[in-house]
Amino acid sequence: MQISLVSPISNLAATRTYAEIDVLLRDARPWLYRLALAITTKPDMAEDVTQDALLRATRSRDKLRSAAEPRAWLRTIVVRCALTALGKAASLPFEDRAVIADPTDSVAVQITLARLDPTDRVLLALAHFEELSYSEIGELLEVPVGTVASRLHAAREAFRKEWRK
Amino acid sequence: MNNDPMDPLNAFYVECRTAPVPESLTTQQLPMPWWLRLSIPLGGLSFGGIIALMLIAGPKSDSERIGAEAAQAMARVQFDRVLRQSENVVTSRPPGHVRGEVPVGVQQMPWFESMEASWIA
Repeated sequence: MQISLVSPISNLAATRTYAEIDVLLRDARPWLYRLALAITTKPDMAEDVTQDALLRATRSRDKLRSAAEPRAWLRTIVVRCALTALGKAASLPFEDRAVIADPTDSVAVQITLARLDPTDRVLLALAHFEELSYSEIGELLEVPVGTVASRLHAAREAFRKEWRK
Repeated sequence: MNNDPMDPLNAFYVECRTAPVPESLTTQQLPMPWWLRLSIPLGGLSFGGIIALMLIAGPKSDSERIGAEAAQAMARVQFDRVLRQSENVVTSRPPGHVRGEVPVGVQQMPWFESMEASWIA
């Protein structure tokens, strides 16, 4: 039994069986990991975030049984887990990666994102990686749409500023 | 570097969309053997390690060796997962939880229910 997370999932019956939820979580793993990677930029941290998110989702599977939008539900969990992980990482000594010789754009992007506030990284990932609308981001982060627009603008400016350093 | 920072940023996100997913996550699709399930709530990774050593030890023929190598690879990946799950369970132990008891979160996992049912049976 395969349950796609792309679109039909939203139209499933309100109550899912535990077996369906297991399949749902299994199929969601690649997407969840890549979203975590887009936010954290570090594969190891993304893996931990994904594992944590899957564990939390498993524990809350009763909520997942009746969630109207399981994809949005899972996205919220992984974003919160990523924010927690980034918050913990921020308390660690800063990893000076500016010494990397001839960095590719990808590495340079990771270095630049690492200098940003975790919330800015989440906003950029949700807007550019997940391609969510302002209203969807606002719903996820529980902030007004206007706030999303202004904070996303600020996040982009922060990225540009750090990029030019 | 490009002039507009948003270009490499978007290129980075495109890379993320096709990033390889760690094996330890994708192999969770495999059914977990009962002894590995047992090792999680009991924190018995050493027990699982003994089983893994038994899997690795003593292959004679080529087919046995290939089978043992496959089992070894699977065990290694699954151990990585179990270790992570155990760490998560330990770090998320609720206040007042007594070591040795199965955490509530674990009790709610699907595999625990089936395991518990097999115990009762």
